[in-house]
Amino acid sequence: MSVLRERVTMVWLGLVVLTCVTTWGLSKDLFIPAVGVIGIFSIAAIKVSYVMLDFMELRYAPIPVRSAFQAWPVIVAAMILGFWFATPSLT
Amino acid sequence: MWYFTLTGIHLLHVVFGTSLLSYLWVRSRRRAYNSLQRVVPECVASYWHLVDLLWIVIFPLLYLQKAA
Repeated sequence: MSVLRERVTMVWLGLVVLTCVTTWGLSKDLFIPAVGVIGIFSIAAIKVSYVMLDFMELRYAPIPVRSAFQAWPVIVAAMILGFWFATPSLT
Repeated sequence: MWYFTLTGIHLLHVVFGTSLLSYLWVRSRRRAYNSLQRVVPECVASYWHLVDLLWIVIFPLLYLQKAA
């Protein structure tokens, strides 16, 4: 099978697109801060998830291991967003 | 052993960096830094970039290279 049709190539392309959305979209004052922050951290969590699934063989790991590692980006993103929303703005 | 030594030491770096970033966050909230006092944030940022760069090397080494 051509390397272009492989799953990892598609995932890699998706990750590149998501990076572009974060760098040239969400970080450029196009949206209100809350939308930018939620978008950036959600996209980061999704990217981490796909890197673990398709580049670190998590897709073929036993279910308990997979659940634990898939929970990690969700918990970290929720914690960071929690800090951001729970503390009052300084400006 | 090779795998756990590399990723284990990296984990220690990440934990230390996360602690530093948390410390920086708390101090920033108290307005401890400004354009004249920025040595600590710059040092922590440099350290975090080092940890980040290390992963850019470790990741291909462990996950993207085909085993010989």
